Amino acid sequence: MRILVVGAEGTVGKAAVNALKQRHDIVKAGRSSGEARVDVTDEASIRAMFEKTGKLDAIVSTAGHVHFGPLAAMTPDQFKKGLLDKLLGQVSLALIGLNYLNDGGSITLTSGVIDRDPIRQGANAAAVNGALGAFAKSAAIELPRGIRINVVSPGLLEESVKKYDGFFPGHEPVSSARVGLAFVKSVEGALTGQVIIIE
Amino acid sequence: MRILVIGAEGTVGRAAVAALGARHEIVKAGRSSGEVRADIADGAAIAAMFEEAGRFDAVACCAGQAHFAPLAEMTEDGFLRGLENKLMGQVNLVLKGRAFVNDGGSFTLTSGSLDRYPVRGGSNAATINAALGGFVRAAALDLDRGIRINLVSPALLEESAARLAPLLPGHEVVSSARVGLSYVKSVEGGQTGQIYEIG
Repeated sequence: MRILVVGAEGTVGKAAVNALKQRHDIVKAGRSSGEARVDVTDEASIRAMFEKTGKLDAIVSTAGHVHFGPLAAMTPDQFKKGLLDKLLGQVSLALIGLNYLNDGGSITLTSGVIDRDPIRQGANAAAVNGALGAFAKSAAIELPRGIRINVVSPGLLEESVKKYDGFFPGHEPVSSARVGLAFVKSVEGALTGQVIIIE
Repeated sequence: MRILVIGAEGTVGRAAVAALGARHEIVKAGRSSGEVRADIADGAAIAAMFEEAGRFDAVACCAGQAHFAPLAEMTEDGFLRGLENKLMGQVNLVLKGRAFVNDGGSFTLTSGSLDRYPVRGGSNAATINAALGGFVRAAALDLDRGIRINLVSPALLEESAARLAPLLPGHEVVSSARVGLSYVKSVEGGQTGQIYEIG
C-alpha cells in the first residue's frame, strides 16, 4: 500500500512508520521535515500536500498539539488553539484527504489517554482526545467507497516519560512497538469507527 | 441556591428549570430571551453576562448548536462553527464564569447522545459531545474552591421527537422529567467529573 504518514518524525509517527515501512510504501509528511510539508492548521497547506502526494491507500495522522496548563490560568484562546491544531487539523486531513484515497482505503488519526484517564492541566487534551474518538465513530457510518476510519489512542510512550516527568502520576508507559501495532491493525485490518486503545 | 440557567427557554433548558425552580432562585439567560442575554458563541458577551448577573452557586448551560451536514458536504468552516458554538461556548462559560461561582458551587454542561449513538450527518455533533465529556472529566481535577463540574448527555427529548425522530432511527425518547433529574443530581449532589447519560 501507499501510505501517507503526517507527523512522521514525531514519537508516535516514528512508531507508526517503523511498524508499517517493511511492507508498504511510506510517504512522510511533517511541518518541518518529510517528503511533503504541511501545516495541519492551514486548509490550503493540506490541499497542496495532497495535490503533491496524489492517490493513497491509507492516511495516517500522528500530528497535532494541544494546550497544557492549569484550568485557572487557561484562556479561551489557548483552548481554541488546541482545538484548531490537534482536533480540526486531523478532521481536515480526513475531510480533504478522503478524496485522494483509493476505494477501500483508510484514515487513522491519533488521540491519547487523557480523556479516559485525566490528569491535572489536561482539560484541553481530554476534550480533543474525546472529540477525535467520536468523530471517527460517527464519520465511519458516512464514509463512501469502503473507506474506513479509526483513532489510535496510546498511553504515555516510553520515549516520552522523561519529557513529561511528574505530569502522568501512575500512568503505565507503553512501548513504541505496541503503539505501532495499533496503526497496523487500523491500516491493514478491517476495523472502522473504532478507538484502538493501547495501555 | 442562586442558579444561572443558560438556554433556559430551550427544550432542555425548560426541563432543567422545571426540576430546579421549586427549590432555588433561577436566573434565566438566553440569546433572545431571559433576564440576561448572551450568545455563548461570543466570548465577550459571556464575560458581560457574568458582570451583569453577579455571583452564583450553580451555572447550568443548556445552550449550543452543532453543525449538521453529510460528511461529503461537511466543510472546515461549518465544522469550526459548531465547535465555536456548542463546544467553545460551554468551555468559555467555565473559563470565564469560574470567578463568579461561589465556593462549593457547580457547573453543569449539556452534550447529547450522538457520540454514543452516531447518526448520518452527525459527525460534528458527535465530536462536540465527546469533547465536552473529556473536558468535564479533566476540568474536574483542576477546579479549585470545591467547585464541581458535570455533564448531562440526554437522548432525544419527548418534546423534540416529532421533529427529530426521523433523523435518529431507533433512538430512545426520554421525558423532560428524567432529563431534569440529572441537573438536580449535578447541582444539589456532590459528584464531579461525571457524565449523566439519559437514554
